[in-house]
Amino acid sequence: MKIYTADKNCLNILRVSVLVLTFVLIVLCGEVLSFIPIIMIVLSVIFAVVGFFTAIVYLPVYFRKLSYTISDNKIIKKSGFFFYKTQMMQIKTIQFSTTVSTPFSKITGLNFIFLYAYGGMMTVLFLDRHDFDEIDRRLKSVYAGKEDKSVS
Amino acid sequence: MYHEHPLRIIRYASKNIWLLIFPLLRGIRSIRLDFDALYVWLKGAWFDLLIIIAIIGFGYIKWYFTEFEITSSEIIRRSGIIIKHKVSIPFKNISAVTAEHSFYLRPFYAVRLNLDTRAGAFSKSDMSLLVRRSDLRWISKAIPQSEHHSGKKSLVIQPKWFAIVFFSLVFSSSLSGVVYLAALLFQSGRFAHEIIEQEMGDMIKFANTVSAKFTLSIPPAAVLLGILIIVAWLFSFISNMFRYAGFKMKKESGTLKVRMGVGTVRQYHIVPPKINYVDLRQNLVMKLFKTSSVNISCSGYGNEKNELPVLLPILNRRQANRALDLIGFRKYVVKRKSRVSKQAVISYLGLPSLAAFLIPVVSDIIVYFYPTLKDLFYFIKFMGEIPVIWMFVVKTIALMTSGVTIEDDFCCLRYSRFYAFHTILADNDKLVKIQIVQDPIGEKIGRCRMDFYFSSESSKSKKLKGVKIEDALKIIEHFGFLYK
Repeated sequence: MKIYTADKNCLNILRVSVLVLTFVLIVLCGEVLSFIPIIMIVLSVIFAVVGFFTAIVYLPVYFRKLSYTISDNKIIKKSGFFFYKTQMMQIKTIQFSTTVSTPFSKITGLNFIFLYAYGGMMTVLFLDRHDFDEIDRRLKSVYAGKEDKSVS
Repeated sequence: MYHEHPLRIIRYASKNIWLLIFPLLRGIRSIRLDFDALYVWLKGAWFDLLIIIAIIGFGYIKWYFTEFEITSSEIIRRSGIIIKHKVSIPFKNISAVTAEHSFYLRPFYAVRLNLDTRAGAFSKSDMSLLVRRSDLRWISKAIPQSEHHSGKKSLVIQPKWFAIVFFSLVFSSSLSGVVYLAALLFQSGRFAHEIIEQEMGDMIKFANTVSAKFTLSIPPAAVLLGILIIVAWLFSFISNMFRYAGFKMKKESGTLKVRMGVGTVRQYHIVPPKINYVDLRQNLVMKLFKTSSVNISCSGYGNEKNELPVLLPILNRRQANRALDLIGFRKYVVKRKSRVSKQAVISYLGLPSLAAFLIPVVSDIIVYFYPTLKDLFYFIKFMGEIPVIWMFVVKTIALMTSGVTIEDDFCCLRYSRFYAFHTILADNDKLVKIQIVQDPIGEKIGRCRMDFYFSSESSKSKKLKGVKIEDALKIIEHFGFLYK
């Protein structure tokens, strides 16, 4: 059994991205809506609150709560912000998988795995490149009907 | 690592067709300059060419970065230029492999290969590849589900041509014909518009002539509607004939191979253990002739639009049981152990009776207020009553024949949906849920509706109305007992 957590680099990148996006939206708001000050101010405040809340509160909590426990026969995903959610998927029920990796994912941690089981899907998000490769290798050995000794 | 067929470049390029907006904008601009518009257009042609080259270039790059690989246990498709996608499907989870030899792909030696598992999106393949015909041969050898067992014992079932004609005849609907026709014509844009304008003009003239010639009280609009329905039905019939012509089902060790079609030849490789259930489908005509078509629920087979998951087109009950035995399903059509209550008349005949009553009443009210529309509404009343009476007959038969049997190893469910009769045969482990639905009246008179859920990509239930509550509870008890 091994516990995988979301990549911390990815958290920082997402936080910076959200703050930059918030800043851009506020500037755009100021440029475009300067002739309607009330709307401009209200929108800017909304963008600022949502942006800062996401970057400072939501993302860190979400990343802290996000974990994947992979044992010999099942994957347990724990996630959530207000409501904590635990999802369990039996490895033998996985029918096929899709992996997505973005450029510079070794640094950014933007690696994703989608597991399709009979009757449902599980997303494994924001993985460190090493963990991503390890899970991918693990799936490969499951498909081949062999046990990957390097993981557990 | 292998690439798909180069023809795929066109498909990938088509996604960048929006880039043509730039030459179009330039074209609109040049129209305004009416003096030397042609000169300006020619002078700027390099830009248009550049856009077209860019579109094809994108397609080529996307094609170049799309590869597939076959290992000893799985098939992998890699795609993406910047963001890398990888789809891995293990062979052991493949439920159906489809090789589609479309008539327009054949000159290019290209084949569309679809792979499906029991997971993923319904009505969409989990992996779709456009491959060279030469590549298909070794892919077939590599994927166990589509392996050729030419030397081993196999069973071939090929229905006679008249069975296919009969099947196409009874399963052709004017609605699907209209869908076909609309899709075909409307996708052709302006050209289609001209055809419709011209053909509709001719048809209106013809409708007027028919109406006048026979001095019928039927208005031309109604004649036109009738002609359209007949044309649509014929179109549906012909397309069904093309789709199912040459139908051949072959059972080999481990797989069921279905081959069908003229023009576009489709080859399916189905893994029998992945079949969720067998559905013997009948309409009223087939019910009277005591014949049915054997359909299956299996991911990847018969999921596409206008496609029926038919395994054997037309068989009587004895033939169907024998065929199921031969292909090793070990599930048979048996007599009902739990029948629908004969008193459930309202549940079965309530809706068609109400519709049969309301259509003439509403029609007469409209005619009363608008007497000029008398002819049209008399015709609508007549036409509207036909499907309603048809449904009344179907539901009367359904009331007499619906029911369920749950044996130790399989279940047999008979029910009716719209105009069709279904007999579902499934292993008990494929029956995943039974739900009892009771409204206040049903609660009082002791009847309920039973919803049966089988393993399937879609969560549609099979509804059995008018079951006595004590029968329903017995079924549930038996179902529960099996899973203790």
